[in-house]
Amino acid sequence: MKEKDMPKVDFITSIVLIVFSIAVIVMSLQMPRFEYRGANPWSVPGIVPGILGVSIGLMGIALLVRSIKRKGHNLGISKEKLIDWLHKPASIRLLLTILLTLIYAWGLIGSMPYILATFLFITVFIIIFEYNRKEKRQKKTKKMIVAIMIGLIAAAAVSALFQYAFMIRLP
Amino acid sequence: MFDGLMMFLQSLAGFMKPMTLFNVLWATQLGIIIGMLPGLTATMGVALLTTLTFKLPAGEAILILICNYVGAIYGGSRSAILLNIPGTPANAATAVDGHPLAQQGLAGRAIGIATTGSFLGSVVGIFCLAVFTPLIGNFALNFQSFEFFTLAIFGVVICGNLTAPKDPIKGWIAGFLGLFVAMIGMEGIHAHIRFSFGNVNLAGGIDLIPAMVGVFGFSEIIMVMKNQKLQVVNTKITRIIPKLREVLRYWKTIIRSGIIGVFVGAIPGVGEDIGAWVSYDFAKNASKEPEKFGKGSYEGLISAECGNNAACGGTIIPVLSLGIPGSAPAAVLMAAMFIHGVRPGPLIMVENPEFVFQTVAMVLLATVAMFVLGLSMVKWLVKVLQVPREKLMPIIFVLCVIGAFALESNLFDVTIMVVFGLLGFLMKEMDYPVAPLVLGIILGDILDKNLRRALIVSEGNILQIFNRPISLVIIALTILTMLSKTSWFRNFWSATKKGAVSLIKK
Repeated sequence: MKEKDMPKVDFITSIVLIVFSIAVIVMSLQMPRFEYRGANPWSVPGIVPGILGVSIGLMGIALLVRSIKRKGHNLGISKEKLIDWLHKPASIRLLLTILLTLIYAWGLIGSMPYILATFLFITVFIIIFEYNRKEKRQKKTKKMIVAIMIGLIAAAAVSALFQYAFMIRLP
Repeated sequence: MFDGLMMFLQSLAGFMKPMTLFNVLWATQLGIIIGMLPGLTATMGVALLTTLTFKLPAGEAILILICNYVGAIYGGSRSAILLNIPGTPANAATAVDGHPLAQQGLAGRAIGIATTGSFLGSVVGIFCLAVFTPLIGNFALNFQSFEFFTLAIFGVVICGNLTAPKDPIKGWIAGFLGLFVAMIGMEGIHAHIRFSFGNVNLAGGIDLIPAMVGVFGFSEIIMVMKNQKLQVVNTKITRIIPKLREVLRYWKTIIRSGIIGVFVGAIPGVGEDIGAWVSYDFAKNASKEPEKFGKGSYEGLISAECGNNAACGGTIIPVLSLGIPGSAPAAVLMAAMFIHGVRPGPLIMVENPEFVFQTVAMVLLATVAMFVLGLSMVKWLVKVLQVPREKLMPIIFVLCVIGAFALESNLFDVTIMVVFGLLGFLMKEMDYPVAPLVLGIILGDILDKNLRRALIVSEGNILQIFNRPISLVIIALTILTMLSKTSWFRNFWSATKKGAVSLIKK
């Protein structure tokens, strides 16, 4: 993140923090107080989360004031800027990494045998990130074979190591 | 004193078995490799290994984790020297002088000096660990609810201050968010389930290890993949083992950096990276050749490496004596101790004093292994740095997933890992430090129970805190820590200093 964008980011996060803190305070106030059990009023479950909610809220307000002083409220979000950001190689790599890892962790694991899910994830990850349009076909094929080999070996090794050496049940 | 020495020698003798020594060697070597690879940190290494070794006997498992920790903090110096990218945050100060040395073709010597510096720093750390843990532990027996509550707040505040020096409010926010995360799940006094929204998994609370694997593992993977590729310096590695004279020249720097490292390490949540920076800064101020710093000074290199490895010993002191971790990897180590049925904290010197000296013996073994392995196989290990990130990172993610899953065999922990990884990435992008978040998760329970107990005992009169000397001192320190970052305090401080100087001159 660039230094000059920080007040804008702080402006947004401070609002998120203030909303979050209000939600925490309200939920803490709604927590039971166990009067019928004769509980000490200072032992109720909502007291510490409530104090934390207030503290986070105060810090959020401090951050909000500071970001407004630094002109962070002029967000200046535009479609062009967003499209520009999406075209940067770093943004593409970032989004691809998150997408692939989420597919593996939330989609593949548990819905197919672990070793197959892991093989698919590692191989596809390597192939996608090493793909270079300008390269010759022969080189592309070679890279793909290497990716498949790594995927196979890594998936088999991790599965075997965890199942037999560390005695952990695989997902 | 002699009891302690006997317990230490007995523990050391107990570890002299071929299988244990084999474990020491592989765990330290793995630590060095993890430390070397940018994107893999000591915290991640220890967290992943905790999940892998939890079926081993307690002593063996904790020994493996300590070896991995010491190895990783040292290992990061390799990439700092060769790539100008610290392998772990603890080696950032190492890169300042280490990399210029590599560019001058002195990479081998730089690696040798860094290894020796790490070794000597660790030795200072071990000495302080053995001496101060029992002392602080016995002192902490006087701590009651008020003291633990103020200590928890102090830990979060100072950790926030030191890990976000430019913008401490972000450090404090991270710390308080961590404290809030600890509120999720069943609380300890009335067994009421908080903030679970009817989810059975959340009712059990957020487990520390999956959260840490996410914050320190997954978020780093995203960071590494987002950034540009790294270039390894093409340099010949010649003589590695340094001459004794070269090292002994800096004996003052070594002792000073060691003590500073231990002290900074022992401050809750602050850690090895700050230990290295503070040692480096002091060395520069005290040096006869400050102009060489930043251009390839051996003194700067040795102070940074001495500082971060001394901090390793330092971070374990509050783990054992107070049950509060000195740094993120020490936090995982503490969690691992709980998993293995050891309860670190003030009662350890009463319940389990042998364990304290067993830990000292473990750190000693790790240090010796680090020294031997650090000076051998250097040329071969440099090749590890050339593994492309596209091939390495998916495998690391697979390990993060299985590591999060392993402890409880629960897919919900994988979700926790992913969510905390994304949160950690966003926080890093927005300049929020992640260490206070983790410290907050650990201290949240201590804060919750002790604040409520203190309120019950004092019938709601929290001002009683000021009647208790220890908590009063901790509160004063907390306020001073917060104020020290405000601009008017700094102006006031510099004006006072100027005034004092002019008075002395008069």
